[in-house]
Amino acid sequence: MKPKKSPVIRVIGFLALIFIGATLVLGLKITPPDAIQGQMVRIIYIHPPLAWVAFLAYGTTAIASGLYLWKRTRARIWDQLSGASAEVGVVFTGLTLVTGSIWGRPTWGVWWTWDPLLTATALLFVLYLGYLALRKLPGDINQRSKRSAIAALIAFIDVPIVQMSVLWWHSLHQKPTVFNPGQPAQIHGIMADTLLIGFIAFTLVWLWLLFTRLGVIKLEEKIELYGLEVALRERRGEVNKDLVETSQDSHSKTSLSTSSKQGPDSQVLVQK
Amino acid sequence: MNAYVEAAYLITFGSIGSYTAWILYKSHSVSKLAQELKIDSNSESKS
Repeated sequence: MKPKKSPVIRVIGFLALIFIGATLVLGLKITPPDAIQGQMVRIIYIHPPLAWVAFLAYGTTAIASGLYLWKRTRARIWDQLSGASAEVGVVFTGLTLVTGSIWGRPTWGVWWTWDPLLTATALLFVLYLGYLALRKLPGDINQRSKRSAIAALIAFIDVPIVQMSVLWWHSLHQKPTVFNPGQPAQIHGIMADTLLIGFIAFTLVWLWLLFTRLGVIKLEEKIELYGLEVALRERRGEVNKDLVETSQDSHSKTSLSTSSKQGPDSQVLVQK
Repeated sequence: MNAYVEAAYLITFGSIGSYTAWILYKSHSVSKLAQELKIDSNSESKS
């Protein structure tokens, strides 16, 4: 029995492939090099969309965790969604850090610097890795989900810090470009269109990955619960067996002790 | 093409591709296990 893949997820996957193809062709072949950054500007078509998806993933994790913690809306699905989204978020945060580092080397002259934005992003990566590790701890499934949900909400505090760090502190990283008319460096024409296509492409990829991973997590949980149920049944079976054996033993012992008090003749009778 | 740009695109799409392949493999193996255990993969868990 394969998990049913909804037609919507199939359409999302198909659209994601088209948009990824468009991002690659436009980003690597059609868009012109930048007047200042030259060919390096091509990283803009993947780096900000990766960061955007990471934020989207952590936002979803936080909302789903909140819904799990709230007694009125508590359901397994929120915990499962939270875990699936955080995992995809960690992958995209890692890629944001790597692509940022590759961009930083020729632009700033270093692969890494303890800049506020970079440090806060690295912290975000580690926080959600910790969250994923917490989800793997053995124990009661509901207890584990509650702990994970609290951890996800705590980790989410770092998301606005990452976003605002370029405005709050002096940073090597440039300030927002697209939605900041005050910024001298702006993006226009085919470059802006390619960036938008990149954002759509990575969002679609995130949606497809999220729902596919969610299906796997649901099934893994069912198998885990099934395993627990089987173990419990076996244990109960063993306990029942032990109880029967113990009661039989105690019964025969009681009979023997009673008979031993009565004398050797009655013991022979009981044994018979 | 710039080597930095090539590296950034290769790492990004290579990683996303690998992660996708891992999820699909996981989906396949978990479905197979569920089938062996006769677990209905499409019903909702009530835990």
